[in-house]
Amino acid sequence: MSKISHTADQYRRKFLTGIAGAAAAITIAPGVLLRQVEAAPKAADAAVTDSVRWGMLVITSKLTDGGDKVVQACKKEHGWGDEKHSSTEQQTQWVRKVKVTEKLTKHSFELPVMCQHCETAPCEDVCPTGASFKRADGIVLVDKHLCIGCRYCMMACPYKARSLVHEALQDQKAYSPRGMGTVESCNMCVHRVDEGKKPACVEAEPQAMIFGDLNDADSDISKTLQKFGGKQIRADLGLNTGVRYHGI
Amino acid sequence: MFGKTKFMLMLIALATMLYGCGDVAPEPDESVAKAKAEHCAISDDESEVRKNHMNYLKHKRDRTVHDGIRTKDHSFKECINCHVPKLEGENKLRHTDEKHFCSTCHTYVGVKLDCFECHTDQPEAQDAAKAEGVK
Amino acid sequence: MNTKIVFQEVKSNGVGYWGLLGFLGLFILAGAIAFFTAEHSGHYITGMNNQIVWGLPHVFAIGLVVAASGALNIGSMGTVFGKHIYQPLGRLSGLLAMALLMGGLIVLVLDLGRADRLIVAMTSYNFKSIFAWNIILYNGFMLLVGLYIWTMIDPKMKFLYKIAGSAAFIWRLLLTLGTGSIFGFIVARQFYDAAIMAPLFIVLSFAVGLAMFNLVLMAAYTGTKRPIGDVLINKLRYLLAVFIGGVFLLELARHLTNLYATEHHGIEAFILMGDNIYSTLFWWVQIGVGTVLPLFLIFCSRLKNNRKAFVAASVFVIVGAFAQLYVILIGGQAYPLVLFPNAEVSSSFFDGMVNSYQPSMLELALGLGGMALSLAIVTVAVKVLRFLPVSLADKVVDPHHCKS
Ligand code: HEC
Ligand code: HEC
Ligand code: HEC
Repeated sequence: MSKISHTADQYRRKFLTGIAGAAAAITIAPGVLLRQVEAAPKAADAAVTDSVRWGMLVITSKLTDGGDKVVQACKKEHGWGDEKHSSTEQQTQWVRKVKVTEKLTKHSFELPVMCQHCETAPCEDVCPTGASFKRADGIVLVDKHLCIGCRYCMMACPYKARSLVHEALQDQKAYSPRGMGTVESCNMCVHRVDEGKKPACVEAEPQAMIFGDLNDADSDISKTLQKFGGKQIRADLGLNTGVRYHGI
Repeated sequence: MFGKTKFMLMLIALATMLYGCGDVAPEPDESVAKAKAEHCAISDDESEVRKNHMNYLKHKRDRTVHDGIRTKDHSFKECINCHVPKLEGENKLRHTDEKHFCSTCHTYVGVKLDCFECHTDQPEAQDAAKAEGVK
Repeated sequence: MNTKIVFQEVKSNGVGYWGLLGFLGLFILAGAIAFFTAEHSGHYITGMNNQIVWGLPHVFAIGLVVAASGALNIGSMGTVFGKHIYQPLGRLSGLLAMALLMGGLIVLVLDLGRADRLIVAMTSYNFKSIFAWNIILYNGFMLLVGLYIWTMIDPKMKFLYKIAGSAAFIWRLLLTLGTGSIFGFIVARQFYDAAIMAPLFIVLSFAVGLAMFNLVLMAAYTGTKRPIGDVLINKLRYLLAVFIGGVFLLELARHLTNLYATEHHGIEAFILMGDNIYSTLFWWVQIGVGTVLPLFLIFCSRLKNNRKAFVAASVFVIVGAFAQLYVILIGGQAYPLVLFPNAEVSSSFFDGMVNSYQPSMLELALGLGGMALSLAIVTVAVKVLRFLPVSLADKVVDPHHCKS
């Protein structure tokens, strides 16, 4: 890292300060901005609508540990990943820390990868029963009551974001039911979002992750994205993901 | 012809025998819930609850998963929270146990639920629930 | 339809017949045990995992489904294309098609994470999903082929013979197109994302379906000591060669187009030149055993009219086809997904790594159980209904061009 040329370094620093400013705004000045993040929390008995599109921006350079905390927070919230009988390849994984090293430049960075909440989600298209679906507010979910465990969505997902539960479970979190033979993935903590809270991972790394409404031009996430941009993984697939990254 | 009559007679005999020795339907343990409320959250009418609780649940299920409606009424989580005692460790009342509120009648009528493959059969941790209430 | 052909149930009651059923029964039993074990414990006891999500059961299932549509070809050639020599085989062709489809589907269904929710798969459809369309295609295939067989067996239904046969033929093309498209629609995986997948599956179905048909036919006629002549066998023999060639050409085209696109070089090198099971299977089994060897057995002039060579060629074609499916299905998943082009990636979830897959006995038992079920259905059906002509001797099947 220290080998980057001087100008590049300077450019980079400037760039990062800009983002840091925007991200810090959420934490430093909670009063006004926080209200925007949780713009118009919906009433408990109101259905979600497409006037909102929830999204997440990850600023990789501001992650304390490249994403380990994100993974831990998710695990704790949903209770996945410690299946007793499953091999490491069979363990479920809602989010993982990926280390990327460019072959030519040897530039390396780390980022958490989870369901990218695509607008045109391949999993939704291929699912035979309609169990994979996109909620009106853009969150891609599995309706586990309909899932038959065919794993076609896992074949179709470009991000390897989905897992099949390979064994029987007990004592799941009451707000996050999970069970053998069905497919699961990051659900953007719907149970929290619906109550006006932020996803657990965002709470764990508030300086590096912004959660909010992409449809609302005044939300923090939209403003930051407008100013600094945000890349999609495999943007070439044209999936218009709800999860965006900075620094990849 | 003879075969058929005999078969019918046997069926009737079997049915009478079953009826005769049929034990009384076990009463689900309502004391846990009674300590928290007078009537079931589904309805004040007990027979309505008994007859239709699954329909309320199934309706609510789709409303929650697809529309994000998370009110407490007819919520699976809440049934368990109200109906199942909070016990620790080995004492936990499992859904495989006939004494578990949701299993008493089901074992008797021979209904097998798959809900508990995913949904926990234990009430939510009291302190966590309280903490959330405070927020 | 050739009215001179006499059909009769298999009368055999000997050790051979019941022994065969018993033998198949053992495999079915093993498959059933495998299913209940996995259903009870969950998929952790299989070799499949969250990296290789479809495994050996899917190779079998897809192989059998593809073979099913191919097996119908013999009937279609008689009915739709008026090739009289194949008409006596129409009933067996339809029967085998239905049986193979049943075997394949049962494997597919029993491997579901929640096989108990089959009713959901049958009642809740997402019409955008090619998989859902396949479910409809499978059911329709069963109905149409059933009707087709009925028109052949029941003289009262003969007026529908041509229509049912043609409908079944068109439907079978759709069915294989649908099966091939299961892969074609996967944009994420480099090995699958190609339009050529659908035609490849159609031709592949011709080859495996015919090979299965040949084996069943030879087993039935040898087992029941009914006569079968060289004219028919040679027809089937050369037809098989044509299909083998067809599969080879499309496979060649597929790899060449992949090699043309630079971003697919990695996966092609992995499959064609990798130090792995997939390259071995590709060159030795798919090309060697499944393509070159049967072609040799068919065209070697010293093996002319040699029935053992004919049977062996059919066996090898099936072996080659299953190897090909294994390479496509498992090999395509083993090669890592590309999240970031031109970069090395690593994670706790096997990103950037070649995924390993060790099929378990359980999966093998399930797959073989499905295959055994198909064959058992045929074995039982030919005994209770008139599927097999009493004679397929040259003068019966081809009275006009009979040389002897
Ligand atoms: C706030 C506590 C509470 C909640 C929440 C609750 N119940 Fe009840 N439930 C009760 C009480 C109290 C009774 C006893 C009713 C009575 O005696 O009238 C009862 C009775 C029942 C009965 C027995 C009826 C009978 O015929 O004996 C069933 C079945 C039942 N509840 C199911 C449910 C289901 C399913 C849910 C979730 C949708 C649920 N309950 C939620 C308190 C609750
Ligand atoms: C394969 C796993 C699975 C099975 C089996 C399952 N559920 Fe669910 N259920 C879920 C998931 C996941 C959610 C979504 C939770 C969320 O979004 O907060 C859910 C949510 C619900 C909800 C709304 C949330 C709540 O607590 O009220 C209801 C009601 C519900 N399920 C009822 C049932 C019933 C009744 C059955 C059995 C017939 C059942 N479920 C079986 C996974 C399952
Ligand atoms: C008073 C007895 C009783 C109690 C207590 C009871 N149930 Fe039921 N439940 C029944 C009966 C009876 C049926 C079957 C009705 C039928 O077959 O039509 C049933 C069926 C169901 C079904 C539908 C099953 C299916 O396969 O469609 C669900 C879901 C269900 N109950 C959930 C619950 C839950 C959750 C609880 C615990 C909170 C509970 N029940 C407690 C009597 C009871």
